[in-house]
Amino acid sequence: MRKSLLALALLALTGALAQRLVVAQGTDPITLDAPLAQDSPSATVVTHISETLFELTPEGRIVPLLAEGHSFSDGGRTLVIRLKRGITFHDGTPFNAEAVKFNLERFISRELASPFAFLLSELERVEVVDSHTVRLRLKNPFAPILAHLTHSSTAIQSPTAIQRLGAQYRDNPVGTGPYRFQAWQKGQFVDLVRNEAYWGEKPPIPQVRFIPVPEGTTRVALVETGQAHVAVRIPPQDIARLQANRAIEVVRTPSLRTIYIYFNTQRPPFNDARVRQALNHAVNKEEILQFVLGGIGRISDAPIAPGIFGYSPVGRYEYNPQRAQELLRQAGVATPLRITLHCPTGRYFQDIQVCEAIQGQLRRIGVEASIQTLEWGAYLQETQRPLKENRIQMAMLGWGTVTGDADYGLYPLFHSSQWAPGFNRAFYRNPQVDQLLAQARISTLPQGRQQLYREAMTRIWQDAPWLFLHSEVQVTAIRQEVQGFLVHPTERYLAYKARFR
Amino acid sequence: MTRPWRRFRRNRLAQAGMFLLGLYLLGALFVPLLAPYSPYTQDLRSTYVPPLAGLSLRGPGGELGLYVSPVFRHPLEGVRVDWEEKYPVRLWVRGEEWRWLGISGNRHLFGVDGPVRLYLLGTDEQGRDLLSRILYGIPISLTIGLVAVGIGLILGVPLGALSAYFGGRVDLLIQRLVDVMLAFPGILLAIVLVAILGPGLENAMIAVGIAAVPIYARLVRGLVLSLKALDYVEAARALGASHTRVLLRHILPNALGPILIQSSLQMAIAILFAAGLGFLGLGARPPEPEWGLMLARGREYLAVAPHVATFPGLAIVGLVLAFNLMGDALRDALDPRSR
Repeated sequence: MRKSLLALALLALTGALAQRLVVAQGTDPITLDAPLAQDSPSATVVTHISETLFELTPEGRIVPLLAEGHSFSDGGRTLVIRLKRGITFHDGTPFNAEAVKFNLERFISRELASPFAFLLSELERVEVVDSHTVRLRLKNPFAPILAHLTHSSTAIQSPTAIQRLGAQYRDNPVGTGPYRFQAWQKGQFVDLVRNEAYWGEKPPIPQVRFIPVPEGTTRVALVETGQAHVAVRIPPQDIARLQANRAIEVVRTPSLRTIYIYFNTQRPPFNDARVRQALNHAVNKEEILQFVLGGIGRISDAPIAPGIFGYSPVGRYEYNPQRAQELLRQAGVATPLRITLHCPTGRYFQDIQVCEAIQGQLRRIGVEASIQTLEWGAYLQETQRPLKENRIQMAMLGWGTVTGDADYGLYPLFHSSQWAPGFNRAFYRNPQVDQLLAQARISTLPQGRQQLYREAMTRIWQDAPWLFLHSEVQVTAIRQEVQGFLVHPTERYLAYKARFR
Repeated sequence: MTRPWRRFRRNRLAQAGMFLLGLYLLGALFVPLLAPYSPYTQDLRSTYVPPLAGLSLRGPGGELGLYVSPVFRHPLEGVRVDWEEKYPVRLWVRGEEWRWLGISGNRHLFGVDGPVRLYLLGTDEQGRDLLSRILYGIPISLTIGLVAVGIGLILGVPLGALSAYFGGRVDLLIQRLVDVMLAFPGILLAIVLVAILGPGLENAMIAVGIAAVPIYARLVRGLVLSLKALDYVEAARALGASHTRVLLRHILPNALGPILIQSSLQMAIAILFAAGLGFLGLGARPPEPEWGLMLARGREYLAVAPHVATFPGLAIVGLVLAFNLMGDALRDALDPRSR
């Protein structure tokens, strides 16, 4: 009797375990408040909870999500959006035009100071037409607005929850999504449960857990032993072994992410473009791609990756240590030049390994970089400080152009109005680039925009505010028993269509 | 003084400890000659090369000897050895330039005569020679140990001595402070201190040193307490000797034995703690060839290249063992009661 009870309990336990999908990300989310979630691991979790008005499909099409339909008028200065009916937030608050107005106004408000505010900087005001229709008035015709409304930071969240919880909202998000938030043990896990009242197709798996695991090989060990079902960013040296394992599938997905090391262009020694160019010449990107990334990725020839509207190749800094040393001499820099290189661990594919390889290569031209690593949240915070308090000389970051439009890939990173705490963390300023990027935003002709972006990128490339590296390919390990797990090119790992075999 | 020394010398454990430590000291002294390469030279084409890879006993013409062939490792395709090319291993070869203790040169005890590299212990994730890195790690670890023990002695011994000698409020104050510090396990205290001071090798040494202060303070307090009750101290004081003189000339010399024993053991602990801090990313920073750091980086590749973590681990074990053996033997030699 006792034995059978035990067996029953065990069965129930394994049953319960099988009901939960575990996803091993590289880092913990930083916040779950959509407009403040500036990194993909946060945005991945947010996307399960809170939904946007429009959605970017993996194929790159923009389709309505919480919206029903839309129409432009007034020469592109007015956008009317009709909303889906009968949707409620997880806390019972109805989803309607008032909620959308509240969220969009909060999004661009100064008090919130979202680094993503530039997405809707052309938005003048939001009007409620009727209970399920909103009208967006724009200052100028704004070409990328629909693409920007697919961005996870523009997700519509429960106004009652935001007002009630205040600063605590970031730890207790409430949206309309297929999963609802359950618990967040910082640094340990985020638990989500299925939204049983979901308006769309209900997700087959009732529970999802995201765990932060910075070391690639530990993530691999977790999927191998079945403690996690999905592991992101598989290190190249483990790929062959995992592919031989029948219990695990290794999926490669293109990514819109570009990896770079930015310089603080306002402070010596990197306020001299020649020093920045020298470092670009000193890094052997080919060798890093082949032997650190295992050939998985693509060497950058523009600040954004192919597959993004507005991309065109604008150059290459070929590997040339002599040229690098010459540039340093011209700039009057004495070697050995001691600098600090900030690096994340576990956030990007082989991030610390790439940094160490670069450290070794810089040593050859007399640049001695010491590597500083920080926990991801603290790391982003350091990069985000305004110029006066910012101590970073050079730091690795990645940017996923998740809207698929060059505006998102260039304006926030290179326009001088977007200096940190915005995303222009190199404190780059070039009036001509500013003008080109601003012009491209409001130009409505695709060909004209393409031309403007090409010109802007050419100038950026010459100014070298970044050490241009490579664009990523996502390598994800998924256990065979999980079917339909979606790895999105925008680096979102989506569980809501997944099911257990 | 001769009898303890003889006891020490005859002790098997002491012999083993001295032998081990001697090896490390020799290594530290002649690092640039013994290490075939600089600890920083990377070769991304040969990462995680297993130990002895590319080595063969026959030359290109079939002649006997030690020869090296180029070894490459592609992350996806694995190790490939180009056996067509072979270069002889030679003694006293010309190689990378080095500077050490003010001397510079380019000779190495052994190396390859040719455009390939010899990896006796394999390479790490950047294609750096593991043997060279481990050798260059010896002076780092010894320095950590010496500096940390030095700090512990300089701060801990006076604190303990004053506490015991004067007693009363001074004793109370110092001992409660020591209690607070002892309440934390040593490594935890060191971690807290590094968190305050900021990560880095120098700060790690300071932190480990401060973590040793309460241990010395307690030890010395006990010793001085028992010594100051002895008749000869009473006599010295009666003759009008000053406090300083009594403490420095009459009491502390008699406490030297236990302090020496403790210091030997403390060296082992300091090295272990510093490696621990390096392992946690709070000590040395990459690319320094510090063993704890190397162990941490090697751990990530345990499944692919176990040697990257194993050898630094063994190096730590050896040095810690050497100091522990010496400490135990010292205790046996200096303290007749414990036999």
